[in-house]
Formats: sequence, C-alpha cells, structure tokens
Amino acid sequence: MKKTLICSVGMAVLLAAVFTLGGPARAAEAPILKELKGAEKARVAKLIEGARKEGNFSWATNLAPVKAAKAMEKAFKELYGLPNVKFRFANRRSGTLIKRFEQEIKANKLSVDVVVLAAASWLHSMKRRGHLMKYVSPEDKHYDLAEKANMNGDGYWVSDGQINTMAVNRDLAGKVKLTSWYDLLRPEFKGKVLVGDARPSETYTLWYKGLRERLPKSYFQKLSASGAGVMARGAAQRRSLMAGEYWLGTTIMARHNWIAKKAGVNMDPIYPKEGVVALPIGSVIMAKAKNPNMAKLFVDYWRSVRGHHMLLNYNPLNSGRPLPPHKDEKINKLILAKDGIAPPIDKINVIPTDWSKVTPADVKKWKAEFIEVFGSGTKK
Amino acid sequence: MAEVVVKDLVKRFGTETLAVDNVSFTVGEGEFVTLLGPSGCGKTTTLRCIAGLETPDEGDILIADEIFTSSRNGVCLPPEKRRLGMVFQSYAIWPHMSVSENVAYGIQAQGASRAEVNEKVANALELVGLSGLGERNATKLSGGQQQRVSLARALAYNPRVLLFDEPLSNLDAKLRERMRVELANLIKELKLTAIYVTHDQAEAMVMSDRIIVMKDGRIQQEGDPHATYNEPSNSFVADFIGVTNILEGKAGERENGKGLWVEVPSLQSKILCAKGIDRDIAVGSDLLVTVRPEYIELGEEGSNDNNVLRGQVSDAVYLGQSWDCLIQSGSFELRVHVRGDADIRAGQPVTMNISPSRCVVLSD
Amino acid sequence: MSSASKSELEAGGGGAKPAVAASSLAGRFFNSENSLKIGSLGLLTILAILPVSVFIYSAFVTHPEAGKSIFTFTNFTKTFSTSEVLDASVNTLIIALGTSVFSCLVGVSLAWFHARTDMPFRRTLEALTLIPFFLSSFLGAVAWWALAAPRTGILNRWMIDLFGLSAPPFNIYSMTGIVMVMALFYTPYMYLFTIGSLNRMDPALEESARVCGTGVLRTALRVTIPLSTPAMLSGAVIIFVVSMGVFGVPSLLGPIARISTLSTIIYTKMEEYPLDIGGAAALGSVLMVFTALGLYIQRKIIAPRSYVTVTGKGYRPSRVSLGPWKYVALAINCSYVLLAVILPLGALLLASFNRAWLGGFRWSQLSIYNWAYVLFEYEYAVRATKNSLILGLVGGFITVVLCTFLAMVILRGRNKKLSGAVDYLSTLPIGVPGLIMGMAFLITWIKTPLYALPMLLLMMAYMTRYLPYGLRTISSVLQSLSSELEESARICGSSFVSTIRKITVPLLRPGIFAAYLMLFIMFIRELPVSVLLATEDSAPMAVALYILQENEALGVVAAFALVQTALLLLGTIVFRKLGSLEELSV
Repeated sequence: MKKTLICSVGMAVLLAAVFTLGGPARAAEAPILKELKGAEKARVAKLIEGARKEGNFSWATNLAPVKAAKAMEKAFKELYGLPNVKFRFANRRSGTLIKRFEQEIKANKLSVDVVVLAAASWLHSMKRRGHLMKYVSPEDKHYDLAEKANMNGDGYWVSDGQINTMAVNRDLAGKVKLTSWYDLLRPEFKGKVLVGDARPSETYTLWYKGLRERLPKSYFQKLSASGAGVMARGAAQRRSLMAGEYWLGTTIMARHNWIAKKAGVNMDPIYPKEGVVALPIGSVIMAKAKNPNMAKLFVDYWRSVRGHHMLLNYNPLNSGRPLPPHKDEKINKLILAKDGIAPPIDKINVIPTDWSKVTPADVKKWKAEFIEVFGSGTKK
Repeated sequence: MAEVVVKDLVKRFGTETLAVDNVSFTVGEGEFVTLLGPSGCGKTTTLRCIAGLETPDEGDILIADEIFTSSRNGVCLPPEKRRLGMVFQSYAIWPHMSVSENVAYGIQAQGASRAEVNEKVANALELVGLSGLGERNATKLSGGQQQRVSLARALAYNPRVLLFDEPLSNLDAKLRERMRVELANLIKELKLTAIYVTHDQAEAMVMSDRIIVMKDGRIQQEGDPHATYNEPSNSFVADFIGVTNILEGKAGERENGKGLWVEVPSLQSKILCAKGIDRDIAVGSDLLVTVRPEYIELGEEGSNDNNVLRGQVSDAVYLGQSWDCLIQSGSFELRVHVRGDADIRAGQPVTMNISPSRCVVLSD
Repeated sequence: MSSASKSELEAGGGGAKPAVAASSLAGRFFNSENSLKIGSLGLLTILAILPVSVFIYSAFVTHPEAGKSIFTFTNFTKTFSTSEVLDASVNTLIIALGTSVFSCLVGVSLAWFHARTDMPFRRTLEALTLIPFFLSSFLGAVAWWALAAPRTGILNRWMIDLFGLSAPPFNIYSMTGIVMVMALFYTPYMYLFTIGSLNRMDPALEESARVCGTGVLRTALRVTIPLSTPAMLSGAVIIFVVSMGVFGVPSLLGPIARISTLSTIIYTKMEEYPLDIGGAAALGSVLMVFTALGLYIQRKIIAPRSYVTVTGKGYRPSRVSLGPWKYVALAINCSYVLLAVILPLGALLLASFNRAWLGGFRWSQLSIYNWAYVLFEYEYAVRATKNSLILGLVGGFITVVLCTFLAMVILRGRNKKLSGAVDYLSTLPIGVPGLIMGMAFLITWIKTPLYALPMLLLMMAYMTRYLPYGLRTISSVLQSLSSELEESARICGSSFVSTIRKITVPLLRPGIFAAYLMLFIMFIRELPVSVLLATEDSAPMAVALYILQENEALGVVAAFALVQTALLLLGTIVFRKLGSLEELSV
C-alpha cells in the first residue's frame, strides 16, 4: 500500500520534471534560426510554427534507401526543432511510385507531401496538370548546373542528377581500360553486359533516348546481338553484377556501386567519352500537400549543402549544385572526385536534353524502339 | 374431433410436376393414420407440408383447430412453431451430441428448466428402452438404438402430433418387424395422434388404425386395414396391397341381394360379385374384378352360391405354410394360395370355388 | 376461439386475430428464403459482376480528352498489333501448358505412390510433399533465383567446382526455369486433386485386373490411372487456368530472359505513365477468355465424365507391391521434396544470414541484420506483416462466414433456380485471374469513398477472388450432411437461426476450419490481387516481398520470405490443431 503510494508520487514528480524540462526546450529557438537573419528568419520561423501544428510529413523517393531517409529525418528534426513531427517515408522504384500517385490522384486522395523522383516526363505532366506546388527555395539559386542542363522545373523543382551509366565489376573484369560505349562490343564481353530493361521503366527508356543522341541504333543492335542481358530493376542488376552474373552494367546508378563497394565488391562507374545521360531528380511539393509548411522546410533542407552532405553519408548522388568538400575525406575521394562514384554533374560530360519537351508519346516511341532492338521474345 | 385437418392440399415442384394433387383428409385425436404408396406418390411431401418443411401451393392445414397453413391467408407457420414431433428415415441423430443432448434439444427449445429437462429426458429414454445410455455418443449406437433415440427425441416434449417418415426402412427385416409392433403399442399406450408414411404395406397393416393409399399425388382409398385389403377400390390399391388376381369382364344382370353377374371371357365363365357394386353399373359395360389368391378354395364343397371354376395346375411352389400355385382356367392363369397340407402337383386338374363376397368389382 | 379462427380462415381473412398475425409474421421466413437468395445474388453482383463488367467495359473505351469516352476496338487492335504482346501470349500459353503437364505427371505419380503402393516412409513423405502447398510460387522463384542463377546460383557454383564444368548447368532465367518453379509449386495441387479419388477407389477394380494377369505397372496404367483420369484432367485444366494468370514467378524470372507474359505486360501497363488502362483491360479480357474457356471445358466436358469408382463402404485399400521398384518411387519422391522444399528453404535460410549475397554462403558476411531489419526496423515490412495477419485472420473469417452462408443458400433452399444462379455467380471468380480482379476492383472503386478504406477494399477483392475455393470446401461437407438433421431441429422447436448455430455450424465445423485454413494461407501469400490494388498503407506481405525484391539485398528478401513461410506453417499447424483436421482438400 505504502509502496504504491511512494511509487505514484515518484511518477508524478518525474512527469512534472519532464514537462518543466521539455517545455523550455520546445520553446527554444530552432538551431537553423540562429543562422538566419531578417526576412528569411521570419519566413522560416513562420514555416516552423506551421509545421509544428501540422505534426506530420510524408515523402517518397526512388533515390534514398530507408537508412539515409532515417538519418536525414533525424538531422532535420534537430535542425528545425521539430522533434515531434511524424515522418512517413517510402522508397520505391519510380514506376511503383508513379503507379501509386496516379491511383491516388484518380481517387483524389493524394497522400504524399514531397516526392523526390527521377521521372522527367511524369514531373512535367504533373506540372501541366496542376498537381505541383510552385515553390522557390532560397537554395534554388545554387542549382545553376542543373539549370544549364535543362533539368529544372521552372520554379516547381530543381534537380539533382540521376546518372545511369556504365559500371564494371573489377574483381571479374580486372583493370581493363574502358573509355567508350563501344568498348562494350569487345568480344571478351560477349554475354557479360547487362542493360536496364526499358519496357517497364521510364528511367531506362530515357537513358536509351539520351544515348541515342550520340550513338546510332546500330550500336544497340550490335550490343543486343552480343548477348547482352536485359533486367528491369536497379537492385536486381546490382545483385547480378556483384554476384558475377554479368561483369558490366550499362544503366547502373551511383548508389549501387556504393553498396557493392561497401559489401567488398570492387564495382566502379565508368563515364564514357561520348557522354552520359543525367536524368533530373526533381524534388517537388504536391499542390494538395496536407503539410505544406513541413514540405517547404524539408525541401529547403534537401536542397541544402547540409542535406546533400547528410545524404552522401548513406547514398551517393550526382548533385545538381556545386558542393563544398564533405567533412569525411573518404566521401570526397570515393564519391565527389571527378572519377568518383557520383561527382556533381558539372564534372561530367552530360548529354544535354530538353526534358520539358519529353512527352509521354516520346517515351512510348523510344520504348518501342528499345523493344525492337532488344527484343521481347523468348531467348533461346 | 378431428385433430389434424388437411384440406385441398396442392404442392408443385417446378411448373410441371404436381407432387400433391388436391389431397384432403383428417386424423382424429389418438388415431394412427398411415399414408401408404410407392415412392413418388406424394406421401412424404404431404407429411412435410404438415410438418412445415414444405410450403404447399394451395390448401389449408389445421391442427387442433389452429391454422398452420392456409394458402388463402398466406399463412405458413414455420416448423418450430407447430409443436410436432417427427422421426426421419435417416434417424437424423446429431452426431456432435450425446444421446441425452439429442433428446433434450426439443425440451430446451421450449425453455424448460434444467430439472424439467432432465426428468423429461429420463422419461423419454425409459419409454423407448434406452435408460442408462444417455451419456453415450449417439452415433456409436446400433441402427435400432439410433431409431429409438430419434423416437425419444420426438416424444420428449409432448408434441401434439407425431409424424413418421419411413422410420423403419433402414433397419433389417427382423428388427423391423419387432419395432413395428413395439412402436404401434407405444403410440397407443401414450394415446398419441400419429401420421405415418411408408411404402411397406405390411407395416401399414400392422400399425394403423386407418390407411390412406396414395398414387401420383392423389388419394386412392381411405379406410381401416381390413376394408382396404378386402375391398380395394381400384386396381392400383388391389395390386399394391398384397397379391391379387385382376380379371377383365363385362357387367351382366344383378341378382337380387346376392350381387352382380360379371362375364369374364378369359375364364370362359360368369362370376357373381358381391362387393364394390354399390354404384350404378350399366349392363354390358367393361369392368375389372379382383380376387385374392387365398380366397380361392379348391374342391366343390362350400356354399351353393359360390362361383365354381375348373382348371389345371400349371405351376406350384411350396412355401411351407402354403402352396403358391398358378392354375390355368380358360385362357387365364389364376394365382391361388393353398394350405400347406394339401397335395398339389403340376398338371393336376382341379375345381375351384370362390365366395361372391370375395369378388370385388373395382371402380376403374 | 378455435372455431373463430377456423371461420376466419374460411372467410379468407377479416379482423386480425393475434394467432393469425403471429403466424403470418413467422411465416415470412419462407418468403424470405427467396429474399435471402436474391440478396446473395445482389451481393455477388456487387462483389464480382460489377468490377469485372467495369473492367471489360474499359477495354472497349478510350478517352481522347478528359470527360469524353468513345466506344472502340482500338485498345485491342493497338495492343495486339505489337509483337511483344503476341510473344507474350505464346509465352503465357507455354508456361501454363508446361506447368500443368509437369505438375500433373509428378503430382499424379506421387499421389499414386502414396495412395496405392507400398513405397516406404509414406507418412513422413506425405507431409513433406504437401509443404509447397502452403508456400507460394513467388517465394519459390526467389529461392530458385539464389539456387540456379547461371553464374552465381549455389547449385551452379557447386556443380562447377565439383565437376569442373566449363559452363553453368542450370539457368533459372529461362522458360524452363519458370515452368520448373511453377510446376514444383503446383504439384501438391495436382496431388490433392487426385489422391482423393485414388484413396476411395474400390480395390476390387484393380484386383480384378491383377487376377486377369496384368502386372503392377500395366494395372496402374490401364486401370488405376484411366479411372482417375477425369479427376486428373480437371486438376490439370484448373492448374492450366490458374497458371495463365500467375504474375509473381514470370515477373521475377522472366525479364532477364526477355520473357514476358500477359500478366507481366498488364502490370507494366498499369505502372507506366500515362496508365494504359484500356490496353491492360484489353489484354486482361483476352486472358479471361482463355481462362473461361478452360473452365468451361473442365465443367462441361470433363467433370460430368467422372466414373463412379467410389463405393460407400469404408475400404482399406490394399496396396500394390512394387518390389524393388519401390526404391525408385522413393527416390522420385525424395527428389521432389529436395527440389521443392529443402533446397529452396535451405537457400533462403543461408541467404538470410548473409549481409550481402556473393553467390554463396560466406562466413565473413554472417549477420542477423536482415532478420532484425524485416522484423523490427523496416516499418513497411512490419506493417505488411500486420496487414497480412489482419487480412488472413479477419478477412479469412469474414470470407468463411460468407462461404458458409452461400453454401447453405445454394444447397439448402427450395427454389432451385435461384440456388443455381447463386451457385453460378459464386463460382465465376475462378475464371478471373488475380491480377485482373485487382485491377477491376481498382478501376471500379478508385473514385468512391471505398478507396479510402484500402484494407476493406483488399478484403473484398480477396473475398471475391477466393470465394469459390472456400465455398467448394464447405459445400462438399454440407452436401454430405443430410438436411434432415436440420429439419428435425426445426421440428423440435428451434428457429432457423438457432438451428444454424446449434446444429449446422457445429456439424460443418471440420469443413469450416478447413476452408478457413485454406483462405488464411491464400490470403497471407496473396500477390496478384494486391499488387495493383494495395495502397502504401495496406500493402500485405507478398507485395512487400515484391517491393523488397526490387530494392533490397537478397538477404533481406530471404529473411522476409522466411517470416512469411513461418507464418504460413505456423498458421497451418494451429488451425489443424484447433479444427482437429485430418485431411486437406483443395
């Protein structure tokens, strides 16, 4: 009897302590505000106030793995003093995300605030259909690299680059020198080259379309004739290259080289002299976002150097903005260097494309050509 | 006073099949009535209509003057409101319950107290001779015992009328004969009103106060066993119940107080019939006469009024207590049952005599 | 009083007497039988007919501009003019045919070994042979990918090392690979389809053949097998129809070999932007024509020809003595268990404990990270596990209740025409492949408030798709129960509802549990309906597995696949214990 009394008194005291300590901490200025001045400080403070009321945030991407997303969430919450906002996150293939959002739009039940996605024609169609919110973040001015490459979305988004390019499993292929897309046609690579399947994927279709600006159709026909494998998913391609199923990828994202390296497989990206395709990874806010304040703050963070550096701890990204050196020397050397896994796009020979002109009809057309070249029938 | 009244009952299955065609009958209080007929004659459907398991298309059913079914008023009381008891051919013992639970089910459904339930269950089991088997799993019992459980279950809650749907036909012959008597005695003892459906004429004879013979959904004849056997109204009844000879003939003159002469060409003879002649029969009209084999006696002795026929034994089978003979007379082979102590041989010429009171003119 | 009600009867009504009023109220049950049946028809129409009609309708419609629609055949002409679709149609037929032929061969042989021969270790092997029934073919595809990928599969590595082969012997990325995985996982269905008829076959039929001087094998081939041919053919056709709609296996193993099927193309069309609903619906409609045709053949041509080999008596069938051949039978059975159970589960187990999969188990990669990740860390996987449990337990329960209800409506009513209609409607969903059912539900309900309740929508779609299976199980038990059991309860004074509660349901218990178990299994592993219909929040395990397979390392996929396996096997054991089930049925 006595014991329970003491216990409950103790609990009450503890709770009171928590409240009194927690109270001031909540009221204290968010770290980000200390860095800001004037109108920008007022703007961000207002957004933080709004975000606190919203209390929720949902975002999705085909880019960052769960781990990176969690780390960014944690850093963001600290920086903006929003420890209680509930995050929802989904990492999916771009096709899966598009399927989901198109369904939700049809049902008028869009459940996401921010999308970071490499799907140029879809982003532009979303913009045309009025599903995106125009938002110019103070970070946007740094994205002139992307602007030059026609990757930005006219105030609706700015882009980092998703570069799907050649990658080689050095453990199997050795120190062979690879500088051109034509190197893949060498006899010793017969049946050892893997191509991303454009049929279910806009990403690989656009990769194909981009490369076709520099390479003739006959090049791809030769590649197909040399027994190149066709595989749909990035992760599946990575697994296949890591395990030695194929030696050379052609549509490998930076992230997969990174994962392979961490698992002890020496997989390197190659940036051939003909150039590579950089797909815009737009970070967009939905017009009907339920948590617009949170969305704006998170987009600010995502586009900032801080955000990029945090992401780089877990996932390489070809930045659409110039980046100062990372505090981790290894990341500078392995990722950001000119021959690294994911240098910012100004350091790479990017084949220019006007993404705003890429229509769904174009995608269909190039997809059809891809299927024509790489076939759809049963491989003997 | 009539306990059960069935009036103008019609039941169709689909649009074509007429299962029950305008059937009416009554069952008195404490009476044991059997619906007898071959399969498909509508007897079971009639019973199921009384039980409330089928909804008749037309007609009324009243029990103790309460309306159970009336097509005109759109009334059809569901079976559970009728307070009847029914014993099924398959016994319909619930395999997931013990004997007692089976028997108690109907009593419990009436909301009786636990003590009352126990008492009634014990009584019912005692009545059917299953005391002490209450805790057994019902499906582990023999067929006869299961049928007793089924009976106890139907008796236990004092139903107004007991319905039986061929309850004994799944039992073997010996047991069936014993159960007939036992069941009939029990029903009489308890003074219960019962409607019993069977296709077995022997069963109907033994058990019933009254038999209703049905065919193709219609009642053919209604009467006590004796009358039904001895004065069948038509060839179907005559043939269905027992063994008989059916003769085609032409009506002749009436002989005052004695009967009607019937010319039977196949026997090359005239026979005098004393039964079934209470209606107008035009002289010269075609008709049928039935004579049961056991009423044909051999020899010339007997009353002077008897019909006398001559013939020759064409076949004789010895059955112990009797001979089952075929006797050729004219162009007809008569079936004749002769006492077992007689001396019969095939080919033997015989003289037969038949009492006119055993010759029944049929209505068809 | 009594004469009063009698005279009222004769007058044909008049002042409402209490007795009459009460009885006519109660009498309504008999009219309500029809209303129950019409209600069931309505329910089935909403569940099955409506979505499928919307689906078929959308195959004939294009939307040149918003809010405008035109009736047209362009969806068909456009879709079927591409060589991709023609190839895919051929692939679909090859896969379905191969699957049904091979699972038929293996399944029937195994069933015969178990039911009619003296092969040793039958009891143990029976349990092992049936394990794939509880797993999913998709899971098998994941496992076989780890086993037989050309250069990296464990088996290939092992064979190369052991025999010094120059080229890997197996290639799972092939038509053969797809058909093999499917056949391995559909074999138990074939086994279950035939074992019943083999078990119940009157041994005198075989014995008389033996007496006539034919040998064991000849007897089996000339008498036993032909006698169970209708059961076998039915099974083979059903497997053919089901495997035409299968999505998981070809979507995982097909792309590398450039093999697409109708179902993978339908999925792709629903995933690209802009969605090609018309094209997907056109493909789906053609697929449905194939499946419907197959089912028609099964129902109208094969099923009526089954021989009556079943005698009511409880036979203990005598067994055929195989002599030394019994070891051959044993070897065949063991190989099957090895290929369908031990190797796949073993490979998944090994992979799940490696942080990165480098083509074989490496002690340097040993880790329990994958398990921790899918069980606790990765919210999506954890939520999916929860969703699947809800769908399996709650959805399965609701479906079982519906199946029980429909079985009674079909078998116990007096209005045979309506019963027939209910029966017909409720078997219709068999002809609708899961992917199409999912898509049909999606396009039917997406603009309605129902879409806001994604779990409910999923449950409805599952219920509709798998209704025929549950119904079949319960109906077969109900058919064997004499309706007199229920009628006698009614006469004893118990109402319609309480009769169902106290008599019918307890007697149906084994059937209900068997159906619940089967639905639980199907719901836990369900992929094709969910892959298009599930939303982010309602994704069940199979969809999560599919997503994981796209994004994560094999170890994570393997661990999650094993979580699903554990749930399926655990569920099976618990259900069978609770329902004291002895036999399985399909």
